[in-house]
Amino acid sequence: MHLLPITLLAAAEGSEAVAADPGIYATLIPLIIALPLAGFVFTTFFGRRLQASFGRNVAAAVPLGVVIASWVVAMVVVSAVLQHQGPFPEHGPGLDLTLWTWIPAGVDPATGRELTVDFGFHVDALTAVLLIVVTTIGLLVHLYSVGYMAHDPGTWRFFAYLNLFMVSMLLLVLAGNWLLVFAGWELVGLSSYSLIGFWYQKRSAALAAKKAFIVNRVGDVGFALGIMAIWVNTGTLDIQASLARLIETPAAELTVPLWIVALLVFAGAMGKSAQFPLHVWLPDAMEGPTPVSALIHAATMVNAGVYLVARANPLFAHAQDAMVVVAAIGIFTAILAASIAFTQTDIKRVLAYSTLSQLGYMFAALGVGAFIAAIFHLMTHGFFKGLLFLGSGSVIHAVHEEQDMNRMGALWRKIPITHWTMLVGTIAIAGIPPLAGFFSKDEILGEAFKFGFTWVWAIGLLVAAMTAFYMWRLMGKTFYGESRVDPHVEPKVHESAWTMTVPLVLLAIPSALLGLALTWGGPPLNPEGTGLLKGWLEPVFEEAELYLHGEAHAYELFGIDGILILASVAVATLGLVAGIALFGFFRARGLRATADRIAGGTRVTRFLYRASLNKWWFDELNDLLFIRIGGRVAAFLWWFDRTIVDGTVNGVGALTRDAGGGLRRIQTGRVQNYALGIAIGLIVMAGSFLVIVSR
Amino acid sequence: MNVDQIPIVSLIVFLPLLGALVVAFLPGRRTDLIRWTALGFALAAWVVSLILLVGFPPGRPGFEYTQAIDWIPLFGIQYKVGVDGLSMAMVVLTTTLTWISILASFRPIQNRVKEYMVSFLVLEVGMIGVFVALDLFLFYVFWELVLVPMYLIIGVWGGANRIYATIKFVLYTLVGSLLMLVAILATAFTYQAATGSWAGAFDLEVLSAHAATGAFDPTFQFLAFGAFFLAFAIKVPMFPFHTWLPDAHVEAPTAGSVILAGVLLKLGGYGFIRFALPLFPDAAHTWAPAIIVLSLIAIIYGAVVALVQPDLKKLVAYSSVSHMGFVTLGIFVFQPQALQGAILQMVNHGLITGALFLLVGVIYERTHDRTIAKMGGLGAKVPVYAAFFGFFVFASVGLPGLSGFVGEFLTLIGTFAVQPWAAVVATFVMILAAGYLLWMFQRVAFGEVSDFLKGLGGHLTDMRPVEVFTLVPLGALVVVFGLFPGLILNLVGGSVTHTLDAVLRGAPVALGLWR
Repeated sequence: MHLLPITLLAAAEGSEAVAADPGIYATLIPLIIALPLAGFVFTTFFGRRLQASFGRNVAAAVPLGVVIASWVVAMVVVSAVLQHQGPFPEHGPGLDLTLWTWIPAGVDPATGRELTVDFGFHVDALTAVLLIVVTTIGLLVHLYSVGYMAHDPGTWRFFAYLNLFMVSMLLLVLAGNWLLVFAGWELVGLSSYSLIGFWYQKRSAALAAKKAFIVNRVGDVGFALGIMAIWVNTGTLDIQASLARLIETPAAELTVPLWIVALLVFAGAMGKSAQFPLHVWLPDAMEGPTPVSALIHAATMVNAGVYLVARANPLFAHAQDAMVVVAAIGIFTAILAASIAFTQTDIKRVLAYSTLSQLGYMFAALGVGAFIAAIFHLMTHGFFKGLLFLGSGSVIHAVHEEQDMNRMGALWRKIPITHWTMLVGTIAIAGIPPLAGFFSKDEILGEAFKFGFTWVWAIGLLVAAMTAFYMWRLMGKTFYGESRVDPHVEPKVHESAWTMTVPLVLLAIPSALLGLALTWGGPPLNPEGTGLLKGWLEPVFEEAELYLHGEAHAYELFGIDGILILASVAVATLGLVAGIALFGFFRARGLRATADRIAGGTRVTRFLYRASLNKWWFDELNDLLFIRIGGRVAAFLWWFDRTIVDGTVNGVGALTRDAGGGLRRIQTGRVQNYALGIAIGLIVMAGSFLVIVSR
Repeated sequence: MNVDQIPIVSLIVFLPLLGALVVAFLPGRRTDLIRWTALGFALAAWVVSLILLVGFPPGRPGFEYTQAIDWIPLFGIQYKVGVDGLSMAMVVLTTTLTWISILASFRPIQNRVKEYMVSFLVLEVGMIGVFVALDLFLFYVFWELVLVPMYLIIGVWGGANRIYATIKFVLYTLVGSLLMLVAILATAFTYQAATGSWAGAFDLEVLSAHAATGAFDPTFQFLAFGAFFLAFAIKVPMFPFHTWLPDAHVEAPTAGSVILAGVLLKLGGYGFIRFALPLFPDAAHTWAPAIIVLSLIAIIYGAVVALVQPDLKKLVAYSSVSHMGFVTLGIFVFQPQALQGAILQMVNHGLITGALFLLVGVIYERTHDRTIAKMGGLGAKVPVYAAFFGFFVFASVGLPGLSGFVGEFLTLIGTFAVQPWAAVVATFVMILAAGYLLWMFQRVAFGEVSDFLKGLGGHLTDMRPVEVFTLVPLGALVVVFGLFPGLILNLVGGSVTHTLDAVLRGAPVALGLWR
C-alpha cells in the first residue's frame, strides 16, 4: 500500500542528518513570541498603574509596540522562508530550533518509546503563511482596539489579554512537536476565555466564555488522545518525525490504526474551528468586544483546526476514510451555518455563522485533499472576515452599541469609510471576481469536483449562493433602505476615529487583491504556471497530494476549469441579485414584504424560517442533554455518595459503637488488662495471618 | 565539616520537634513570639531541606544520607532514615507547605495559639518522618504520629461540626493503619521464619531485596498487600474510602486543609510506591486491575460530584479525589512515564490544591461563608484576589505551561501505552474539570456583585500583603514546574527506575488484562 516513492522518504530522512545552521534566525524566531510575551507580562503587572497615572493610550502603548515589533521580525523571517534564504533552502525540510528540553520523561525500556519533549519550533512555508495572517491581522486589531476600547476602564487588561492571545497563537503555529502545539492550543483557549468574558460583570459574557472553553475541551479530549496514539505508534512527539514514521510503518504494526489517529486529531480541530456538532460556542463568543471577534473568532484562532489538519496532511492522506469524514463534516457545517445566517438579526451573529460556514469550506477542502486551497481560503477569509468584523464594530460604535440590524439602515452615507470597506468585504466573501474570496472559494469547489467529490462541490455551490444572499441581506439591512436607527441616536451617528478606519482600509486592500496576488503567475490567469502560494506550499503538501491524486492534471481554462468558474460566479451573482432585490441597494428600497411573504408562505418555509431563527435548536438539545440530564446524574451521584458510600461508613461506625456499648462490661479500668488484650489481639491476628499463609 | 558527616536527614525531622519543645515552654500570652518562633523553626527546616536538595545527586536509584541506629535490637527494629529522589521531593513539599501554612495561620488563629503551633510542628515531624523512614516499624510510628496533631487541629480549631469530622477522620485512618501494622508484623515474622534471624526484619532495604528474590509466597503477599492497600487507599483517599475527606476539609481550619490536601493525601501515594510495590510485587500485579478501576471511578466520579457542590471547600475536596485518582492510576499501570506523572501529580496537587484552600480561606475569613451561591462579582470587588483565584483555577484545570498539566499528561500517555481504554476514560475528566472549576469560578468571580457581598461593605477587602506572600511562592513554583518539569523528573528518575525494577521483576501477570 505504499505508493509513496521510497526516494522521497529517504530524502526526508537524509535531510534530517544535515541540519541547517539557523544563524540569526535562532534569535529572530523566538523573538516573534518573546515580544508579545514581554508585553503581556509587563502589562499584567504594571498596566493598571500605568493607566491610572498616564491614561489609556499609554497603557496600550507597550502592548501595541511589541506587536508591531513582532510583526516586523515575523516578516523578516517569512521573507527568508518564502524566498529560500539562509537556513531555508528550496525543498528543505524547514528549520528546527530547540530552546530547552521541556519534558524529559525518558525512555520506556519495555518498548523503546522515548518521551522527550523539546520546547522547540519548526518553521517551514506553512508556518510562514500562518505567521503572515496571525501577525498582520493581530497588529491591525491591536491598532483598531486603541480606538475601540478608548472608553473602557479595563483597557490595560484588554491589551494584556490580546498580547497573551498573540503569544498563544504564535506558539501554536511555531511549535515543533504535538505537545507544544497542544500547549498553544490550550493557551489560545484561555485567552479566548478571558477575552469573551472581558466584560465579566455581564452574565451572558461570563456564560459565553465558559461555554467556549468547555466545548473546546470536548474536542481537546480527542486531540489529547490523538497525541497519545501518535506517541504509542511512533515513540516520538516531534511532528515531522512522527508523521514520517506513521506513514512508513506497515499498518499491521501500528498499535492504533491511522484512521482512528486522524479522527482523534480532527476532533481537536472540530472544537477549535467550531465544526458541527461543536459549533455552538462560536456564535455565543460574540459577547466579547468586537476586535476580539475579528481577531480570534474570525481570522486566527478558529483557523487553528484547519492548520492542524493541514500540518498533519501525511497522516490524513494515508487515512482516507477519515478524510471523507472531514469533508462531510466540513460541508455539512457550511450549509448548516449558512442556513442559520439567513435569519439572524444581530450583525455580529450573522458574521459568526458566516465564519462557521467558511470554515466548513476549508474543512471540505482538506477532506477532498485540496490542502493548498484550504490554506488559501484560510488566508483570504482571515482578511475579509477580519475586515467585516471590524467594520461591524465600527457600525456598532456609530449607532451607540446597538447590534440589532432591525435598528439600523441607511447608514451608508453617514459612515462612508465603514460602508465602502465592508462592501469590498461583502463582494469578496460572495465570490465575485476579481476579489479575493472568488479565487480561494473557486479553487476549493473546482478541486472538489475534479477529485471526484461531486457531492461536496454541489453542496458547496449551493452554499456559495446562500453566502452571497445573506451577506447582502446584512449590507441591505445595515446600510441601505430606510433608517430604523433610534431617533435619539440618529443625529449623533458619525464615522469612527482614524485608529479604527485605517485598519479597515488596510484590510480592504488584501480583501480585494490577495486572491489575485497569491495566484499570480498561475491559474486561472496563467494556466501553465504555478501560482505564488502554490509555489510556497508545494513542498509541504506535495507528497500527500501526489499520494492522493497522482500527477496533477493540466489546468484547462477553456475546458472543465472554465466551466466550473462560470458555475461559481453564476451562483454568487444569483445570490447577490436576490439579496439586492429583497434588501435594497444604496437608495433603492428592497422588497422586504416579499421576503416576509416567502418566509411565511408555506408550511415548509415557515418551518425552515423557525429552524433557522432558532439555530436548529442545538442549544436547546445541549441544554437538555448536558445541563438537565447531566445535572440530574451529578445530583444523583452526590446523593449516592452521601447516602450509600458515606452511609455505609457511618453505619459501620454506629454498629461498632453499639457493639461497644454491649462489650462495656469488660472495661475494667486496669491498664494491664488492656495491654494484655492488645498483645493477645496482635498475636492472634499475626498468627492467623501466618496460618493462612502457610496453608 | 562535610555535609555527609552530619545526620542531615534527622536534622530535618527533629528541627520541628525542637521547635515544638521551645514553643511549648514559651509563655502562652506572648502569642506573637510564639508565632514567629514557630515560623522560624519551620523556615529552618525548610532551609535545611533545600540545602539537602541542592546537594542531592539526581537520578541515582537507592537511598542517600542514610543513618541507622539500633532501636529495639531484639526484633531488629532500627531508627533508620534516608532519602531518595522521591522522598526528597516530598520532604521539600512538606517543609514548604508547612511554613506557608504557619504564616497563613497568624491571623485566623487567635485562641490557643501555643497549642496550635505545637500541634503544627509535631505534625511536620510526623510527615517528614514518614517520607524518610526506612524501617517499617519507624514508618508506622511516624504514620500514626501524624494523626494526633491533625486530630487536634481539626477538633480544636475547626468549624461547627468539627468533632464529628475529626473523629471520623481519625477512626477511619486508624482502621486502615492498624491492619497495616498487622501486615508489617506479619512481614517481619515471615522474614524471620525464612532466614532465622531478626536482623533486618523491619528494614525496608533488606526486605525489598528479600522480596526481589521472590521469597514471599503469593498468598501472603496478597493478604499483606491488601492490608497496606487499605491503609494507603484511605489516606489517598481512593473511592469508595473517600468520604472522610470532604467532612474533614469543611471543618478543618484553612491551614489544616492546606496540609491535609497538600501533604497528608500524598502519604498514601508515597506508601504505595515506597512500601507496597517493592515488598509485594506479585500481589501488586494481582491487585492492579481492581485499583485501576477504582482510580478511574475516582477520577470521573470525583469530578462529577464536584460539579454539584454548593460549598467551595467541598468542591475542592472532591476535586482532590479526582486529581488523586491520577496518582493511583499512574502508579498501578507500572509504566515509567505514568509513574513519573503520578509523582509529578502528587507535587502539583500539593501546590495547586494547597493554594486553592488558602484562597478559600482568604474569602472565608472575610465573609464567614463558603457557599458558592452567595458569592458573585468578586472580580469587580476584589480584583487581585480574583486574579490569584483564576490563576490557580486554571492551574487545576490543567492548563499547559502550568505544572498540573505535565503530571496529568504523563500519567495519561503512560497509561495509554499499556491500558489504552483506561486512558480514554480518564482523559474525559478534561471536560469535567473545566466544567466544575470554571462554573464555580464564574459564579464566584463574575457577574454582578451579590447582595450578600454588598452587605459586607468594607469588610470585604482585597488581599493583604501577607496573603499575597503566602501564595506567590506557590504560584511561582506552579509556573516553574510547568515550564521545567525536568527539575522534578530528573530528581525522581532513580526512584522510578528502582520501583519499576522491583515491581516488574515478577511476570507481568495482570497487565494484559484489558487488551
